[in-house]
Amino acid sequence: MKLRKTLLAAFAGATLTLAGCGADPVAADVLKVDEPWTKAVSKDKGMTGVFATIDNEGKQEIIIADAETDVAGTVELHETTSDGKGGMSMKEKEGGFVIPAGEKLELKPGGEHIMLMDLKKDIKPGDEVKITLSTSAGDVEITAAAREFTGAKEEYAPGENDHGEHMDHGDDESSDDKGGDDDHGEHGDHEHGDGKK
Amino acid sequence: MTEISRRRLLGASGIGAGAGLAAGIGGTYGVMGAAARGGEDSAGFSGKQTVPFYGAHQAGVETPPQAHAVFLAVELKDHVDAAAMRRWLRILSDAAAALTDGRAPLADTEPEMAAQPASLTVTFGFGRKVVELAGADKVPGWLKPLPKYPIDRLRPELCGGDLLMQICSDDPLTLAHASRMLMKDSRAFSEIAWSKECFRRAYGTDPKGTTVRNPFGQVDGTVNPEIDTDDFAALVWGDPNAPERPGSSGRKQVETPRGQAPADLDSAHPDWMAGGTTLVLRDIVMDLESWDLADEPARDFSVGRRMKDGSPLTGEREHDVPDLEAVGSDGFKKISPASHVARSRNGKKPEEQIFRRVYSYQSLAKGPIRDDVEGVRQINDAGLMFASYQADIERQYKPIQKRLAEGDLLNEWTFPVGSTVWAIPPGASEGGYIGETLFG
Repeated sequence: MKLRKTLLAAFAGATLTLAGCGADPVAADVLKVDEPWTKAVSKDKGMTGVFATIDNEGKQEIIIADAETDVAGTVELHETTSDGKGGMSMKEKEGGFVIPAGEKLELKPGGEHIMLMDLKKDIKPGDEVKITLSTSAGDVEITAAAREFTGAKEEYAPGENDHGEHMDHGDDESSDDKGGDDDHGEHGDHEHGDGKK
Repeated sequence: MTEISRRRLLGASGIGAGAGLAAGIGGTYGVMGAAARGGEDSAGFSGKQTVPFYGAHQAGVETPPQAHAVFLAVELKDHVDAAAMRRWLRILSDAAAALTDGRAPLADTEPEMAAQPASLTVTFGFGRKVVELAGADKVPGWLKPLPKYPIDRLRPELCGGDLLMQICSDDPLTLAHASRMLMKDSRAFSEIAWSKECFRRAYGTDPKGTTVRNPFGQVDGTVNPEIDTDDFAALVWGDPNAPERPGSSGRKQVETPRGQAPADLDSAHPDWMAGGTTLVLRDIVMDLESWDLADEPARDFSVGRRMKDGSPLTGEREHDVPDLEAVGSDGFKKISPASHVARSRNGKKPEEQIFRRVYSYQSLAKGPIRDDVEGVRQINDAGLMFASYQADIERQYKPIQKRLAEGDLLNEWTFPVGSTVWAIPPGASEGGYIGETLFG
């Protein structure tokens, strides 16, 4: 991923600086991740978002540069931009998520979030998705519980709901009930043996 | 009251506020009333009150009834198997634990509305189909519809559902949000079978513990096992030594006029129900149009208690024990053997008691012209969500229901339209979930 390369290059400098300060902070110790969750979607929707509140309790800025998970081929860090008319669209966040020391990053629908793309399996409500965040201070593992959610569309504008769907981004968890057991990501094809937790 | 005397009274309340509070309920209410008229009633805020979700038993049973309730029954979608059930129950338990604690659950689109739980509780009940997912051998024999009673006018659409949520709060907005959230979390696994919004008195209208009136105006529920007693534990949890609720100062040993309940009422609970109970939920229509035909003496006679204050016709105060043998000067029993009170009681069988946690519903609706009621139009849709908790349906509930169905003067104005039976699984500990004893 292009972004990752750029950031890694940038970190080369940062790491040198940190090394000069003595003990490096370890992200897993100072990043407090609260209520991580992901939007449940079927594999054919292709993508979904991951949300959480991440608190940097350390004394140094931490940059979340990238993320990885087994359930998606590609992971991007996204921000949301407004069109000034209540509509929004999302794009990759330049430079990753920067969390200054003592501050909080809120990843939420309609705001910054982690985007899982090229999904390899259905993410069903109640599933737990493990994600590894690569940060300037090491990796952090999080487990995001999946919930049914109809917001967090890649593109949305009030009043354009009908037109925004079925476009190439395919992220429409729409609530239109096509009769029978249309169950929004809970698809009738039973468990894949990952039930117990 | 003149303005001067009222002002003088307010002044007096203000000066004596400390003493009034110390003096107890009467004084406290006086002060609060005055404050409400003069400005903000800060003493009465109840939004931050919480009832712990986790515990040996589910909350919402041995919990003083909150002002508002939603009963929500859902039907499983075809694809739901044991693994999906487990995921769903975890989601529901996590959401209920957060909401009852005043926190927004994951994926809540209106997190601000979770901030005032106002004693919110969420109580889950399992129907036969849910239990079967864990194995046919787990299903207790009593987990099935009640037998058909002669009074029943059941509507099938009010008698279904595989999983029940009893959601209660002292605040109706909180309740609306919590119900919506729990249903959003259920949508992938189930469809709504039916739901009912209902109420008791608003928080703060009466001191807690006051017997509520139903839409007939009847003081309803005078004789009810008292929470935090060994009597309640025996009758509802099936074990007089059942764990007490969080925050309780221990179970009181009580002697009731009905006699001591047997200690083995949980004998029909399968292993997975240890710490659970059963719920019979009856949606009982109260026909206010025909009730209006009955004047006060007829109403008192039918109930066996006075409408005015709930006192039995053989007593003076609400909690006086009815004397079903007392004969009046006219040679007839003072409390008719066909009255609701007489038919409900069986003094010789202390196990024939239930815990009623009943809510009313009542709304105006344009109904048909009623030829049987002097040609007036029906304008009310009213009734009770009669929630009856007992350890053993066969030994406790059914004998009472049978007697009432066979003859209770109140049956002239009431009839059940909905009827469901639920297994109430035990509570969960933090990190666990409701139904864990079934789904592991």
